[in-house]
Amino acid sequence: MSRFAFYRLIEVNQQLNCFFLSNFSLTNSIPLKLNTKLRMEHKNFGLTEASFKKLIADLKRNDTYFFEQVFLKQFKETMNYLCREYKSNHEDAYDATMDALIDFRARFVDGKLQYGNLRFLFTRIASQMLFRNLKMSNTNIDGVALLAPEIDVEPTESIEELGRLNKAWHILGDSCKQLLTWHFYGKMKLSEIAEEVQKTPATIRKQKERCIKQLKDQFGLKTILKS
Amino acid sequence: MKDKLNRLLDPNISKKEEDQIFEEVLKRKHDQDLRTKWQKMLTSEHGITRNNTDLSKKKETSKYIKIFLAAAACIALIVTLQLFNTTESDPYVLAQQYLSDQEILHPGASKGIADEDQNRILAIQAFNTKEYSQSIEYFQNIRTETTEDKYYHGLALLLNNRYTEAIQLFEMINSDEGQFKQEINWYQSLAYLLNKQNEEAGALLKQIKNSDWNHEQAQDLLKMIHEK
Repeated sequence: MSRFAFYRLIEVNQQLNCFFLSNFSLTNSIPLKLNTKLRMEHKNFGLTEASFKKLIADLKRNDTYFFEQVFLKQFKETMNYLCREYKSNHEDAYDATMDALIDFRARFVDGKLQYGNLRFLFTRIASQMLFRNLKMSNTNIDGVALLAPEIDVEPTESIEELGRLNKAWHILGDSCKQLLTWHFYGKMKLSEIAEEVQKTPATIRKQKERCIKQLKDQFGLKTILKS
Repeated sequence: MKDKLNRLLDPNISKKEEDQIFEEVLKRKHDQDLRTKWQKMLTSEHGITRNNTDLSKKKETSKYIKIFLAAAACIALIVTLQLFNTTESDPYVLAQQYLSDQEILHPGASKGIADEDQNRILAIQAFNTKEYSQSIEYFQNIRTETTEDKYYHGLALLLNNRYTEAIQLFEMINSDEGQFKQEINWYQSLAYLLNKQNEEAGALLKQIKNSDWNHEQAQDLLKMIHEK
């Protein structure tokens, strides 16, 4: 990381801390211990450690309800931050915040996030997404070139191919969809899925192979029809 | 992505590569699904759209908003001045002032609560963001309300100006020596005053001892009740 990027991050951190302190006045009615706990939860979008774990467990099963309840509420605040700090326009701030949400879900299921200061991290990721997107569209903004390399730039998606995948997916049975989603998207181990659905790991392994074969057959069929 | 889907059809593909490709293509698919879903939710539930279509409208109306805000500020100033004038003699106004002066936040669920009810978490979140009517709904849906839940449920009702319901709830949990006894005495007194039940408020304020929380404020309120 370059020196400029490092200082910029420190600056962002300080600004966020100032924001928290000025907006979270201590009251006589709340003892110090509770205030510390309260501040900790504020830093983590109101999540307790227990609810943080629950959120991860839900996401691994592709149950996004709780995640949506917590994070969609932060959407506007994050957009406002990007517009205020980086003079971003509305659309760019919207896209960056949406990208940050998608990235955050992946980090949760990957086990890359720890209970600590999710609010700061989310804002930082949204900032980096903004820089990445602007770099992709060759728009200039101060500090863009220096912060952007931290997140890989994804290749442009093929809408046609995504449609091809969606069609094949649609034909798949519900149990296959669930198994493949939990395993590939929720990063659940096959043994964990086996425990969850009360089957043996061997059964789940075989089921996964069958599901993959079905999906590949669909791709193959569509390719033949297409050619 | 096209190459990757075609690569899956290669009979010599290794299991590892196959898994990697599936992980990648399914991530693309599900991410795209989530984007679509969240876009709809943001529009319908939070009023946030990608296209800032309201911008031109906002510019047109901004001058009217400024005039309106200026007028509102003047009215607010007059009302505030009147409030300060009447504070000296009206316990109702002072109770309102005490309630708005103290920032009340929920510290989060207590340790030892094994039942991590989602409604509790959402109720606390809504409470701390001052969305009291929503918080009340979540509190009502908690399967087994603890004394702490009831206390903050009562506070949410009080802060949502639903005084009668707040009093009912506080009366229910104030009957024994609980962990929130001092706080409930105080807020129940405020609820009585705001519900124009000065007699009941007076009786309860007298119970706030020298060493109790907000004793001085309680004495001020008592003095005003007697003067009235």
